[in-house]
Amino acid sequence: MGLLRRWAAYLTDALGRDVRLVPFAGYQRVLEALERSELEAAWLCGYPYILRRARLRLVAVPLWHGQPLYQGYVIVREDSPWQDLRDLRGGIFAYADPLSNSGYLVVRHGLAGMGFEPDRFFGRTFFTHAHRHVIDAVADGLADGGAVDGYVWEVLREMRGARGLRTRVIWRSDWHGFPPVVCSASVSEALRLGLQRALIGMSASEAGQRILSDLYLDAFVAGDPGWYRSIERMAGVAG
Amino acid sequence: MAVVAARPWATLRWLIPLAMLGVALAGGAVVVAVTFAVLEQTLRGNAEQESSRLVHTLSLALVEPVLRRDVWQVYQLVRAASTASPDASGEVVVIDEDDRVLAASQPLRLPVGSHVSALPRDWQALVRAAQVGQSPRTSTTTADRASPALITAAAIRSEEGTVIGVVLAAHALGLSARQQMLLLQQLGLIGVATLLIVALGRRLVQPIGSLRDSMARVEAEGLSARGADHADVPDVLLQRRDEVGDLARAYVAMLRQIGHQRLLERQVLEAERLARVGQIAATLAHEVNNPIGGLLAALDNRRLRGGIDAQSERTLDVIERGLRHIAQTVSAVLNEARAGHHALQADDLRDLRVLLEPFAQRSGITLDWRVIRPAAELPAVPVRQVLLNLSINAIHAAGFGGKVALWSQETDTAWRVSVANSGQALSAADFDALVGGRQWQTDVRVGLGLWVSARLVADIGGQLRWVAQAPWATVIEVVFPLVPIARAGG
Repeated sequence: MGLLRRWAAYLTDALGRDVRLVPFAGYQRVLEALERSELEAAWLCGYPYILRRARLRLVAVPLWHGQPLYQGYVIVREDSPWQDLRDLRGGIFAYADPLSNSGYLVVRHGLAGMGFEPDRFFGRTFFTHAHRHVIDAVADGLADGGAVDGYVWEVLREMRGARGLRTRVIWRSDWHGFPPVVCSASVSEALRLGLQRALIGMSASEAGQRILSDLYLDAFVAGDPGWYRSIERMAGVAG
Repeated sequence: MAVVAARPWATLRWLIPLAMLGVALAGGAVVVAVTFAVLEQTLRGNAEQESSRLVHTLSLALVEPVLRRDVWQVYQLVRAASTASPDASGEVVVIDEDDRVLAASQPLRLPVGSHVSALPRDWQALVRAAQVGQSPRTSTTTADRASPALITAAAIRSEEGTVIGVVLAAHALGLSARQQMLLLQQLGLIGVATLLIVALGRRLVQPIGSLRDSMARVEAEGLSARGADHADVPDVLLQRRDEVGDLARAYVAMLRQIGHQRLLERQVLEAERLARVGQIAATLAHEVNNPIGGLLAALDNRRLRGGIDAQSERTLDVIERGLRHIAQTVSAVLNEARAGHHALQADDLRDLRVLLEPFAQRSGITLDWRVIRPAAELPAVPVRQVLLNLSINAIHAAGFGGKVALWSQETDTAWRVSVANSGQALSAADFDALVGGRQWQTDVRVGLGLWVSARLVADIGGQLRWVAQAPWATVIEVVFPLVPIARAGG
């Protein structure tokens, strides 16, 4: 059984109601679905959570390597000559998503911090709407560099091996709050707490631990909106 | 047997495998040529169809991504299109309305944002043609490519019909690596089949070569010296049930027949030589004995007249002993000639019996001898020789513990002697063949003895006859005419 189906089965069992997990391409579509109540909850990036925090409520935050934190990476092709983010000036750059923290915001904030104008630093940019696609675009040579979620890159490297990704990291962002599980403000508190308990309880059950292991995560915790203040600050500067 | 100069390359053992090899190679070459021709035609036809269909489909699918300038989505589409077929080594390029590459299936070769001028010239021409509504167009080019390719271009039009980009698809006309590998495997199979055919050809011709070697050895060593020997023809050839086996058996039969004829010729020559010696001996007997007889008669006459003193008497005795010694010596040396002329006596038959009895005893044969000399005169030598030959044959045929009997019967015109034996029978047909010299058995002596006997009997006007008479296995009757025909000479 696939990971999503096993996770949905676990949540269905824990919540006592039918739960479906649906993959989405692009954070904008996720936000729209939440606002239209087509979705009750979502595992979302910290940046769109900050942007829509008035209409979203924090449910749980994953722990990765024991911390609710992750980084954004800038990657280049493994055999490319570039060693620093500055080397990509004028090149072709792939962003993950305009609403992604690690796949967009952190790079623009980093460039601004270096004194560059983010919109003019690269010769050409495009969005792949998925972190995995950023890695493919850079590995195939479609882009000279790309912004990718550090958690996604590290997990894929563990799955495919160091050479399997055909990319290497030339820049890392500061540590920021890990993408949280949020729910729409219209969702009842009981459901929010129920979902929170189910997610936190994963580390206490065998099925939940197997799912966490497949996700390369340690556990879920209740989380704190304050963990995302660094993203909030970056959004104010470079968003 | 004629000797032909050896030409190893012209022998069947090489010509047949070479011919089979030639057929195999020619067949393989035809197969390869046809395969290439069909493949070329198929590849070109496929390339035209695939390219046209591909650019048409892409020109429709790319409208939205091109309008949005969505590099990644365009790339996903062209990458999927270029790797759709395992044999398609094609390349797809999408040009935007600014004449720049929006995405290419090989981005390292044609990076995003490259100007159309970076493309090969014939590609640029196709882009221009497509932009002015002449799409799709095709062109074959080898520019910047390792193998010929078919290039097809199509305009990407918005819903309003405006040209918002151009999609180019290159389809390789040459063989893909997979197809080349398949072709090489087929050629390898043809090569292996060729080697197998050559080996098969060699194996098929090997028996003929072996027979040819046997013939060559016989030819080199001389047929007359070998006689009926066929040991050089391998048994495996003689046991074959095909045409080569028939040929080998016929060859061995021919060798035997020729060997028999050679032996017969030698026997005839020997007989003729002995006849000459006999003639000379008879002449000597006549020319030496007659004068000696005269001289001895003269000595007797002189003694009868008397008046010989003792000294002369001793001299005459010396002369007489010398003459008688000469006569005895001539008689001893020329006994054959002298014997040929005397008539058959009872002593001749007794001598013959005395000669045969020890031989029969050694062979464990019971010999029943009831031969009585005829009243009329018969030449002793041929009679003795014929009876000796037939008796020895009969003793051989009877085998150990068998019986052999000889009995005679005299009429007014002939003296018939029957030689009978138990044991091995001789058929009438074999008897006729042996006497006629047409067929001799493996035991050449038996056949030869019969044939010589028949000739000796024929010389004096008689004949050999095969008679069926129980309980004997074989009875040969010799008919000696009682008015013998004198042989020429002496």
